[in-house]
Amino acid sequence: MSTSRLAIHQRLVGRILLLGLLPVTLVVALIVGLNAYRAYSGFVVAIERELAEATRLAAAEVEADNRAIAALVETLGQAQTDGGMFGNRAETLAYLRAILLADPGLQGTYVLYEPNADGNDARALGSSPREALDAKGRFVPYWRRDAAALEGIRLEPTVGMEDFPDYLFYLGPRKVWESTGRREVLFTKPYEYEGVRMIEQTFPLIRDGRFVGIAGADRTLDELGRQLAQSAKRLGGDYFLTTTSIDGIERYIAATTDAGVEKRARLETREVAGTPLASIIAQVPSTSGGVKVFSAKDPVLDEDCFYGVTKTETGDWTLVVRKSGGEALASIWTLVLTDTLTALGGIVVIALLLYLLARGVGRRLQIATEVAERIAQGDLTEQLAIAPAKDESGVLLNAFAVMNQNLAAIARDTRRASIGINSTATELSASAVQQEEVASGLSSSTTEVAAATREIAATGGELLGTLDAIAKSARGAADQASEGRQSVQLMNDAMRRLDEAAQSVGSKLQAMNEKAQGINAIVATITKVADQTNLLSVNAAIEAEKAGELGLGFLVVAREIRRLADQTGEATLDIERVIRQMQSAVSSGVMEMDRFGESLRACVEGGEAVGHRLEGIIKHVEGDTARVGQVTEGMRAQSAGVGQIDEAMRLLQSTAKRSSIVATDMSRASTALQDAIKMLKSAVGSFRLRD
Amino acid sequence: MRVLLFETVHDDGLRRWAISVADIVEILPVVRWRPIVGGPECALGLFERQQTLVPLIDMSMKLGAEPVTPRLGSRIVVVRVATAASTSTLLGLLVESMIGLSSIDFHGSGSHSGFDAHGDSSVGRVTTSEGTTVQLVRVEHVLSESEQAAILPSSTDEAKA
Repeated sequence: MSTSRLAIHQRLVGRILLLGLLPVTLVVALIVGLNAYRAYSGFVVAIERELAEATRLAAAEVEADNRAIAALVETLGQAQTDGGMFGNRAETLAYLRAILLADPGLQGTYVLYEPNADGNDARALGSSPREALDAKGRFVPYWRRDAAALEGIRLEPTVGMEDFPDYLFYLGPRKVWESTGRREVLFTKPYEYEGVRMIEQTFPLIRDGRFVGIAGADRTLDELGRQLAQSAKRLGGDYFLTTTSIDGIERYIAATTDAGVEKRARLETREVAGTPLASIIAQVPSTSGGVKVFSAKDPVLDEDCFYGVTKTETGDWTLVVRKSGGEALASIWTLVLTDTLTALGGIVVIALLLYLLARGVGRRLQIATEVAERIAQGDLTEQLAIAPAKDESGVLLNAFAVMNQNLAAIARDTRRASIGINSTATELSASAVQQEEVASGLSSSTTEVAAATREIAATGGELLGTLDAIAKSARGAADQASEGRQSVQLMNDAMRRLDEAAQSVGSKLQAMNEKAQGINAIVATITKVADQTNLLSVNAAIEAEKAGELGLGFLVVAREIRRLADQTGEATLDIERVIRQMQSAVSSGVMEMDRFGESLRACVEGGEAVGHRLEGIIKHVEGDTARVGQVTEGMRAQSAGVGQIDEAMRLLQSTAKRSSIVATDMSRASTALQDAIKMLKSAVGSFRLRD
Repeated sequence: MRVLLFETVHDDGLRRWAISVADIVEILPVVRWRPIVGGPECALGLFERQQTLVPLIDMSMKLGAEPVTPRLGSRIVVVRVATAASTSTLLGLLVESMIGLSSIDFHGSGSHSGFDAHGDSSVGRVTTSEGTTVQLVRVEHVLSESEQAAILPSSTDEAKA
């Protein structure tokens, strides 16, 4: 299986990347997360501190304004009662006018007396300006700003001091004085008067322990809102200012945003209760001076916001500063984004390095895997380019290269050995064929020999008959010796015939001797073949031994061949011995025949003399008869010898037949051996070698 | 072990010897060889085998018998010997009378070291098989060092070849 077919998570590159990148990514993510958390905590602390500071500063500005106006109003009141200005209406008017002109932050100034408090009401109707009096001459002057009037201000009488108790600007200080005995500036509820939203600060006038009126100044809520907007611009955030007046109802004084109240509706003068921010404003600390900072979900903006709330010392006003959490956290997000991008860059660099490392190792492993696969498929042709062994993978590749070379050497040796065995088997096969031919030649030779022996036997029989005839003739000669010379002539004729017959026997015997020599030559060939077969069988057995298990079957065949070769050798030895006996018998027969012929010739030559000496001839003839008997004996021996040859030939023929069968077996065995070699070759051939 | 048995003719009769089949390359009939004069006495000469000249050693002389008289049972046993001078070379051993292959245990009961204390003798262990004593011939020690120098081709010869 090739590595390229593996899924990425199974490959070395994938695993190294996974094992290397996963922990790094986790650690980096943890660090970035912790950093972000720490930065967030720090930012929350910082933003709360900043918010507290902003709240404190804005509150301080409001407080400063409140103190200034409280001091102004108190001075105005004390100028009446303690400064001796009470009852001096003209001076009071001028004073009020001067104050209003001097302080652009004021909307109006006024001093209001109780009915006839100075005892001049009736008189005043004639002298004082009417704008400072009510219908009965009560001193109720109110200097207020009017853009259309000369100098931007005008005087008018104050109305409704007792008519609208809930305004409290007049009755409030009196109520406080009468209930507590304290002379203090009272900050009234915000309200709208003739299109102008304002708030009043009033101070009770007390003469001889009696309430005689008030002094006061107005501020427009627009002016307070402007000042608050300046704080907001400088310090950031949204600002809300509320007051709880003497009637116990909390109302908005100013705000830098509408705080969720329906559009266009002015927030100023509205009651806090029922507006969305009521719950936030209620968090204000009960004691003045302290700042409470907290975060909560803003009901208007619908997001987490930070709030700072405090109370002013003068006027007891509540200041709320709101900062959006989103804005505050924007910088934290920037930090987290920067951290994350840096970490991602680092991870990408690490991943790249890991990938390069894994790819290097992976490539060497892949080479090793491919080589192993090729070796598994039997391909040993690859000469592995051995990379310098810098690390373990290099050593592995080296080991592969050495293994490849060793395997190739083993396969090459085995192939060479199989070629050797194959040539032996081919030789063996050729020998078997040769042996088969020799066996068939042997068979035909033995048939020839058998024919020759039969011929010899026939000749022998003929010879015996001839000898019998000689004996008969000799006997007839002996019988006729006494009959005279005519008979001698007859005998001479007979002698001549006998000589011819004897010569014929001699030539036959010579032919037989030649045949016997031919047999000897054949027997020598058989002996040689048997010897070669023996040699071949031993060599085959040795090769079979070396071939190991594959040669076991052949080893048995080789042994059998050897045994048969030995038998063949023994049989040829027998044949050799028999032929030798036959040859000696034939030789003695020839010698006897020669001697017999010489005797006959001597007889013929001395026929005449013999005729004269018949007794002597008779004696000779008798001696010849004895000699014929000896020849006959020799012939008999020869006949028996021929019988033995015949028997030996039969044995030889059967041996030749068996040799032929064995040769066929051997041929079959060599085919089996060749098949085995073919198997061995194909086994070795599955290895591809570099030549 | 599998061995090839052969006999030598001595004054007091026949003696039987064994050569390990593992050492044998081939068994040849007695071929004609070219006699070489001046060499060791036992070295008969050189004969050709597959176009290579192989030295022929008279094993009977080596084993203390009369020189071999080639006869029907005589054979040339071609063996591979590894020597100090050359890595591996062929040697022809002319044996008087080859018997055949047999399996003989030279380390079984009744065997003897054959007086070969140092393991460098040309003959090794002795044992009895089929009523006859058989001694193992160790082909790698058949030639003495001086004989090896004279007979076997040196590595320089091979390099020239």
